[in-house]
Amino acid sequence: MSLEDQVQVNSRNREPRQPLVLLVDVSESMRNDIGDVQSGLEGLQHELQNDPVARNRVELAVITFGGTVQLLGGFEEAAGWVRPGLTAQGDTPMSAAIDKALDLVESKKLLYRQHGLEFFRPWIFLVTDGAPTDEPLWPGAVARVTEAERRERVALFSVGTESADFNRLRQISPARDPIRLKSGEWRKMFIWLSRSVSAKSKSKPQETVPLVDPMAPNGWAVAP
Amino acid sequence: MCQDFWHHDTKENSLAICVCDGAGSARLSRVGAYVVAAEVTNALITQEAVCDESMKSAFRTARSKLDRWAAAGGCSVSDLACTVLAVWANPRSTYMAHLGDGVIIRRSRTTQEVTIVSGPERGEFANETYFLTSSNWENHVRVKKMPAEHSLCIMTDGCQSAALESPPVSGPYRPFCDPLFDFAANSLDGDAAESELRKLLTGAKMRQTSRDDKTVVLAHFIPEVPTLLKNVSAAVC
Repeated sequence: MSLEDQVQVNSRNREPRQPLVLLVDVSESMRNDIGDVQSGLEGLQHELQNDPVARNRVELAVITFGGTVQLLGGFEEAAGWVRPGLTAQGDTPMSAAIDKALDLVESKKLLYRQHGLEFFRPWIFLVTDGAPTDEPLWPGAVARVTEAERRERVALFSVGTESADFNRLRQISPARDPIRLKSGEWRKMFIWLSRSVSAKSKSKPQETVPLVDPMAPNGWAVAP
Repeated sequence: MCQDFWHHDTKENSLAICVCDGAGSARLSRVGAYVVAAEVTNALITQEAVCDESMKSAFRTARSKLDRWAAAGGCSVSDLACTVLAVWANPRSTYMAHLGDGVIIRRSRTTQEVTIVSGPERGEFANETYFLTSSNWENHVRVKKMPAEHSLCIMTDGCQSAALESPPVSGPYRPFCDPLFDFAANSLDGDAAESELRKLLTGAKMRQTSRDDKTVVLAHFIPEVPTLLKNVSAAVC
């Protein structure tokens, strides 16, 4: 028997990975929107799972902040990811949530390195309808994100609803301006996100991927 | 065009191997890989005894050679960028030094345990790694001393997908590594072994895991023969 016949190659998923952390505000004031956010996440799940490349490349994690900060499940390949159930409650510990997202991204990158897997710049996608209620932690979170963006370790996108504090969001997303969600356009936003992250996951290293402008006339967002 | 090169040499009872992968993004990386593989091997084999520092010193010698080559050839040293995997062994000890991606896997002769001695070191993102031409290359060289009694498999990154586990499992992929180590242990004819390895690396199985250049070098310790490791086999495609 030849050597080639004897050797088996690892055929399980070793595609380069695109991590995506969804940072979702589930504070009490989000109660009326939670249903829409959940169906938006369902759309995201469906879109990514039907994309033959992105399903093996995009890895998702959901961190919610409402009363407490929670990582719902862990990082999952899009192919097997199931959108979590969300419940609205409590205040808005946004600073702690951002901190947790950065920790999570760093530990995921360490894992990729240990496995010799290539990866793209991780995305953190923050959606909120308010302002951080854990003020003392805010400057630390801003400093961490600013440094991580400067070193191109992460890309943070922030989206607020009409009631969000856009001054705070500007501080936390120094590299790209926050945008305001058009009323109720959650589903459209998540479809945009899935298509954008898919395109990114198929890009060449260091290539800048042009994203569809969410503030185009038929888009889901406007300037704050 | 292939950008992997490897070189090896023996002297009395010691052996030196160096495997280099030229950076896809550097226009003369093929030359860099060729020069470094020969230079590191030569720097190691001419030493009486090796220690951590002499492994690094061999890399420094190769880097100086690249600097001179670039100056003479009117190109930038970064045009010669390559990763480096180097091994020096004698009957008592084995040293390895590694910069960038690629992997060195070891099978213990006593326990048959298969472990990654040195894994790929990636940069921040897809397709980024560290090269001998990087300004801070010395901060990224990993040097390790190992016991002598083992087989070694040195591979460039084109083989990583086939040879390493996928998350959540980590470590070497045994159905890939074990037959290779068995093959090294049982192959006495270097030319025939190289031909078999070449068939493996150019075959459909490997092509489906990566279209990158692939190099595998196997070294097997033979306890009955005092001249230590032999059966060095490799293939490049």
